[in-house]
Amino acid sequence: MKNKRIVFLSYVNVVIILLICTVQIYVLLENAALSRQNLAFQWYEISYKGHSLVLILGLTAIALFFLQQSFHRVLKRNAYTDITGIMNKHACLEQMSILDCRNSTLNIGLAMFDLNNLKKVNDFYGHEKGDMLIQQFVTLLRQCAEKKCFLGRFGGDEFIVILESCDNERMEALLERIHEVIEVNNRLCNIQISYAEGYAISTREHYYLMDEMLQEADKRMYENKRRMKSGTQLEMNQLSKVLDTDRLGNSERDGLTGMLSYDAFIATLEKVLKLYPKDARLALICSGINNFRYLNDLYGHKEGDNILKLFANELGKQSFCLCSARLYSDNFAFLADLSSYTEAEAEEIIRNWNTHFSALVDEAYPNSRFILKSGIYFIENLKDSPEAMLKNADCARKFSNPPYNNIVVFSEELHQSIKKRSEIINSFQAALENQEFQVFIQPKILQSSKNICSAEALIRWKKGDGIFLPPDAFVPILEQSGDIVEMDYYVYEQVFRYLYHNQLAGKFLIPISVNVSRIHLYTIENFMERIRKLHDQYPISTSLITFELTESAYIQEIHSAEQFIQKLHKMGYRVSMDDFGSGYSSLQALYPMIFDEIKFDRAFLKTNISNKEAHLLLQLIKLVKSLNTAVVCEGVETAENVSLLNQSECDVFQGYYFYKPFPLEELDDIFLSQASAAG
Amino acid sequence: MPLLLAEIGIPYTIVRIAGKEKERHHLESLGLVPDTVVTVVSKFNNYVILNVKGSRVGIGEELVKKVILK
Repeated sequence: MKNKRIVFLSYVNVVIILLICTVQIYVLLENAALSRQNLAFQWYEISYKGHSLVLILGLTAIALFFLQQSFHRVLKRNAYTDITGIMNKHACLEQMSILDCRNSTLNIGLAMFDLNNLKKVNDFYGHEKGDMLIQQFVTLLRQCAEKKCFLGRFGGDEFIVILESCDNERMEALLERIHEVIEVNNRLCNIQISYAEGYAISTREHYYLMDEMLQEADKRMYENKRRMKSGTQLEMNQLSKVLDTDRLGNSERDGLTGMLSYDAFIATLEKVLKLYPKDARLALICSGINNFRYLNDLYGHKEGDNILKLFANELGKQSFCLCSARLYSDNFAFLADLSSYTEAEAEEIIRNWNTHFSALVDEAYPNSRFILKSGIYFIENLKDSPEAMLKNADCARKFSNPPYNNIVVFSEELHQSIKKRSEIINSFQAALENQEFQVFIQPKILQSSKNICSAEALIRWKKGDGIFLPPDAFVPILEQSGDIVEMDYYVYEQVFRYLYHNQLAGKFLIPISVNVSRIHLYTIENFMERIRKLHDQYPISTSLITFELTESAYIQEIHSAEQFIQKLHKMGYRVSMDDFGSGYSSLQALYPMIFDEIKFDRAFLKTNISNKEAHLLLQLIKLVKSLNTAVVCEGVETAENVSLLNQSECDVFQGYYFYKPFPLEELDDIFLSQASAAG
Repeated sequence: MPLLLAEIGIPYTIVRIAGKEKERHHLESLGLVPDTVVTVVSKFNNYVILNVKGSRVGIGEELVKKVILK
């Protein structure tokens, strides 16, 4: 009401000024008529000047008035317009009080909207994105609202729409329109807009004053919001608070990426895990960059750092990521909330994120063949210590095998195998010192006489608690850790010493073959030196020792293997190819025939050999035999095998049918018994 | 609906009294409390004369708006 009067008075003001001006113009015209008659010329001139001055003043007054009005309008608009371009809270309140001043508030509708998860968006994507989200929502609201609607931003993420002469249908139509537009928007944009709505309409039956209407709309909106939340993800104020406080502490951050440091991460994990209900599906994920070293070499360390920063940045934008940390160099860990997914879906989500990020990097650095490898640990018991969880996730990551298997989910079997593995590696040195390794021997039988002609030295691990470990259980692991080298030398020494003592005692000597791990092929000089020293210590005839090199090692390291064999030959040792036919079995392997002996793999001699397979084996033996090498068949276990091999040109048999492996010391007794049997 | 829209001569029941504490108190002291039956005797220039429990009460525009009838 007050406003109206002010405006009215202002207009009266203008009219009065206009009247003055008209009068002045009239006087001036009269004056001009009088001055032509030369009456009191001087006086008229002064009056003329005075009148013109008044006219100018009057015009200025009008101009100033309009100027002031326009200024006033701009000021008012500025004061009432929000940054998003719609009315702000003051304007809303004023509009409401204006409506309240009407005779009645009948048929006025008020709708209220509240953006969900604005806080999350602000936290994870930054406030800039949050503002964009608000702006986007406002634009869409405007698009939907009719011209007569009053649109206002009531609070940070609360919006009101006031519709005059409204009924239920019109309001529902408006809400429906908004819903559709938002849905279209959500399909196009990466940040999803979700909102809660509530409205109240003042009717004859339910009559509301404006502030009551606001309250009612607010109440309904919160009901709506609660319903939405109970259906979807859980949102906990406390949780965001925890994450928030950790977001603020800058001192505990990684300097490069801005992620949490290890200690801070563990502390945050502890807090967050306490907040979650027992059945929540949380996962701890360790991610590393495959061959990050090569990326650094290829693009420089600066670009490498940029990739790390990009990773931290992108990860922060993912909705599942609760908190993240950089553990060391290119290894990251993050906690993900995957409560609404099954384990398989969760794995898929992580896989998608990995490919998404790889694609991003590939775009920036073409042909980098960037691969992320991740280990996932689904947290089973929220009360476990975060360190242990992190260890599990990291273990799983180490088991990933890019580019085929980039994601590994931690499981109990994985855990067991890791445990066993580390146990073996850790106890190896002690076992070597405690002489837990035993050299076993398996004699080989000559086809013609069925007598022992030579033997193969094998290794057995008799653990302190009396359990025998088969070689399959520890040899591959020791090969990976490199400890196999020491074990090989241990076997060689035992064999050399045995032969040397027998030689001194004048006993019967048979050639013994020993296995050579492929690792020796990388350090040929070293190997030769050790063998030479052994030979110096136990001078025996070098032809008594045969080194067995597996076929796969030979083929993979064919050049160094050839050197290796030549050097051994020069020293007088024999070299045999082990496991022939088990792996690649390239005939090329046979071509530069530098082996003294070929050992056919036990795979050839399975039970129930078909005629064709038998034929193949016989022909193969014939072929190898024609290259002037000795042929040994491993795995002779049944009488059937023996009768089959008797047809072939195979020289030597080895297998359980004749002898099982036994400790080296018992070899003498076997000999004695054999000799006595032979008479 | 608000008292202002009530038709003359028809009895209505008061549903509630809106407005601030002071206004409510004033209206209550006039006998305008929920569940009371009132009849509008006359209306002019947004002033209303009511028949409440046999007595006549006149109230002004601002207060008239706060009385909500059924």
